[in-house]
This record gives sequence, C-alpha cells and structure tokens, in this order.
Amino acid sequence: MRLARLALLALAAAFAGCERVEVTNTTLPTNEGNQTLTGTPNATATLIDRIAHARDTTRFQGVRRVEIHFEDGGQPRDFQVRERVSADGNGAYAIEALDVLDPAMGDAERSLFLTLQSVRQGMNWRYRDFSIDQVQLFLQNYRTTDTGLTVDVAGVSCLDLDVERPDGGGSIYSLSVHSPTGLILSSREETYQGVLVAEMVYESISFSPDLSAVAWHQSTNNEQPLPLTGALLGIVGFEPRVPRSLPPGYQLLERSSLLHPQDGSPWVKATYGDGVETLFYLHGGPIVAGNGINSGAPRIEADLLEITQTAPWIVARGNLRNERVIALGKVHEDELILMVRSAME
Amino acid sequence: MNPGLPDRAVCQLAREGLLDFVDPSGPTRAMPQAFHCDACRAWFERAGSQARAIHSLPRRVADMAPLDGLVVAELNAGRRQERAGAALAALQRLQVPSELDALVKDQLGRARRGAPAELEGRVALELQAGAGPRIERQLGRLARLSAPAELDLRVAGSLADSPRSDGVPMRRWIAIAATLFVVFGAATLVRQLRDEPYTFRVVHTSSTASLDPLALGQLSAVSGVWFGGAQ
Repeated sequence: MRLARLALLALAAAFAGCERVEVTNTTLPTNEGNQTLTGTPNATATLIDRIAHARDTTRFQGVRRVEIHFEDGGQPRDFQVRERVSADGNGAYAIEALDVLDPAMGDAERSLFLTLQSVRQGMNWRYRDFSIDQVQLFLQNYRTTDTGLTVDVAGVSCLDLDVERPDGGGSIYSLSVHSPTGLILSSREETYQGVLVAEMVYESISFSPDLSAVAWHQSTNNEQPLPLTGALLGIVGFEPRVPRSLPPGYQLLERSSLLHPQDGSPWVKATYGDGVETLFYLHGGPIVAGNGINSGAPRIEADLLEITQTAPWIVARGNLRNERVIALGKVHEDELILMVRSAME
Repeated sequence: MNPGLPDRAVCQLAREGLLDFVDPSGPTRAMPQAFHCDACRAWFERAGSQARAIHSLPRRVADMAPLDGLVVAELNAGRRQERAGAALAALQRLQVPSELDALVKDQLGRARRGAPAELEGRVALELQAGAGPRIERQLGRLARLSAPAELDLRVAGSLADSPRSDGVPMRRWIAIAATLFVVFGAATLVRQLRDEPYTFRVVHTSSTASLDPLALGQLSAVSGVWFGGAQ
C-alpha cells in the first residue's frame, strides 16, 4: 500500500512539472545558443521554422521504422518498413529501404519492393513523412502544443509536441522533436477516433555521419513543373478545369504536367496543401479516341464519379463532361466531391 | 287685512314674507301680526302643516358617491375618461384562483397553435419578398405633393438662363448606362438559364484493385503505401 502511494506521489510530481504550452511562431523560445550541425547557425529561428527546414539544413543519418495502417477492400492492412535516411544538410537526401517487415513477401517480391522503394524515395520524403510544407499555411491551419514532457528517441532527448487542426480536420500528430535542429525523430498519426494511421520512430541516429557512400536521391519523376497561374492551353494542349471550392484550409501549392503511364496522354496535376497534408487534383482534358478512365467496378461511364475509400485516403475518378478527372487526398468524401463538382460546373 | 280681496301679485309678495314664520318642528313659532287677506292666512296654515308633515318623515341617508359622479358628469362631462382612469387605478387587484390561470394558459396555447392559413401565407410571402414590398407600401401611402407653380416657373427660368453644355448631358449618360445594364443583365440571365446545373452519379468502391495505374501511382505517392505489383 505504501509502495503504491509512493508511486502515485512520484507520478503526480512528475506531471506537476509538465505544463502544456501552445507553440506559435512568435512565442516560442529560440534556439538559445544551440546550433544545427550543418554549420549554418539558426539560433534565432523559432521551433516551427526549425522543424520546417530541419531536413534540408541538418546533416544526419539514421535508421528508422515506418508503419502505415489503412483499409483496402474493407479490410485493415498494415505496411511496415525499416529504412536508412541520410541528409547532407544542404538539401540532398536519400531514403534506402532496408527491409519490409509487413506484409510478408517472398524473395522476388521483396527485391522488387526494395527496388521500387528507392525509386519512390522522393515521394516518401515529400508526402509520406510528416513535414511542415509552408510555415505560414501550417500556422494558419494547425495548433502545436508543447506537452512539457521530454522523451528519449534513439538516445536523443526530444520535445514532445501535439499537432492538430483546431477545426477538427485532418489527423492528430504526436511528434518527438530534437529541439536544437528541429528534426522529427518520431511521429505518430491518429484519427480523431483514436485509430492509428502511421508511426515513424528512429531507432538510431547520428549527427556526424560518414556520408561518403550515400547514393543521393535523383529525381526520376516524369512530372514537369507548370506555372502556378495562367493559361496552359499552349503547354499541355488543353485548358484544365480548376476547382473553385477546396477543403477548408487547403491552398494551391504547385501545378505540373505528367503523362498517363498507359496511353501517354497529358494530364495536369494541381497539388494542394494545408501545411501538412497533401491533396492531388488531376485533369486529363477531353477524352480523345476513347481514352477515358475505363477501369472501375462498376465500370466508370460518362457523368459518373467513382469514390474509392482506402481510409484514411480517398480517391475520386470520373469521366465528367467527357473529360477525365482524378482527385485524391486525406479529406472527407463530401469535400472531395464538392471540389470535383466545383471544377466541372 | 283685506278680508276678501286677494291680489295675486301682492299675495305672492306677502306669502314670501310669511315663510319666515313657518316652523316645521312644531306649531308656528310666531304668528304674523297681520295677513294680507284671508287667503294668505289659509295659505300660511297649510304651509305650516306641510312643513311639519315633511319634517316628521324619517331622514334617508343618500349614497353620495354616485350622486357626486352624476353631478360632476352633468357639470363637467369632458373629464369622464380621467375619472374612469382614476377609478380604475383606485381599484385593488384581486388574486385569481390558480385554476383560472391554468384555464387562461390553456386557452392562449390553443389560440397560438391555430394561426389562420391566410395569415401564415401572408407572413411567408412577406419573409420571402424581403423589405421591398414593405418599402413599396410605405411609399405608396405617401401623398404626392405638387410643386407650387412659382417653383415650376423658377426652374423653367433657371434652365432657360443656364448656358447649354456642349458635352453629352448627364441624363443621356444615365440612359446609356441603364440600357447597358439592362442588356448585360438580360444576357447574364439568359446564360444562367441555359446553364443547367451539371449533375453526375457517384458510386462507391472500397478496393484499390480497380484503380487505373495513374490513380494508383498517385495514391501510392501521397500515402507512401505499397499496393503490390499493380503499380
């Protein structure tokens, strides 16, 4: 009994020292003498700024475990890999898949997967891993709270931050942040219903690595950047329809052109973001020679939008007004349909 | 005394003097020394008897309040409302039984439930139409005043005296603007009427197996998930 009481007192004392503080870009204490290991002091940058730029300005190498949980065909599915991440602090990076832990794969499939992962490292770096894409947009849409706790990740002391949208959109993130650099050493994403969506934890990390053997990521994307505004008829051959209604908090970040992997027809891809999450809207222009979206169950016909739920993600595809449209992201179905409808009306 | 020759006018004057000797409480307190005539003596005796008879009647106490009201009403009929108000204000409030409260509440509740359909319709129309009809009604009630003839003369004189502008008059600009507004407004309206809202069907699926390579690749990019060899 006495032991239990002592344990309770110790717990209470531990929590008494923790105070949740909302983190803003102006109220946070600055780096206070610490400096990044890139040789570029950013002692005056706030924590949010440091998090936003840490991956590009911090020289490090570490091994981490990444797991993602989603639904496909109404069944829960898990995806878990171990990978080595390297960054030179000047924008170069590499994500090398070391092993796939889940789902179980044969040797041939595992080799194919590891090869494809190296091709996809750019997407993983940009879209999969938690990152603050635009600081002002992030500050506009998200609330960051310092729980006051200090957590140890891979032997490194980290701040414990909670990140969520005050309007209840998106997911809830728990981050472990290496304060001097702003590097996120662990992240946990949950829905508001408490369902785990993704988790990333560094198992080891070095801020003074030997990077001489690293094969840095080279962009193999077939996407060509397009001007953010203005007509595109002369560039891609058609004028893409633009959504006039976006999910709350999202803004247009960039436009690019890409070719359909099967028929080579041009598409325009608009990327929207809310500071953390990403939303794609792709317009394939008028259907030519029967190149409309022809897969789907039931078969996608004219004036039909097919919604594929792969919670937490959602995909909308359709042949609308005799034009091809794809939209996908981690938003509510109604918001995605409204977005597509606003582009087609 | 003139025993047999009453004179009407003189008797009248003499009898007024005799009234001072009439004592209703008892026998005549003092007899006059002389009467004008025998008729006046007889009148004096009858007057005494009548006075005593009236005096012997029991006195009835009159309710003075209504009497006062009647008197004032006759004398000052223009202040009836003030008196009525004062009378009401002077009334004491009586406590009503609780059963009465319940009955009144029930009656009022029934009355609220059943607004006439005509009233409901009119209220709905008012709410839909906004402030326009109300303003129109209020303006319609205003009496149109005609300008004095002198004002017309002065305006006409002022216009005749003012130098004629070489540019386009303001009225013409307003007319042009109004015409353009009507034309463009009509064109917009026609265009809106032609553009029927676009509708499309929405179907659902929960499997990524049916996604085409482009959609699957983009989903894989944004999610970081491996969807198998289909990519």
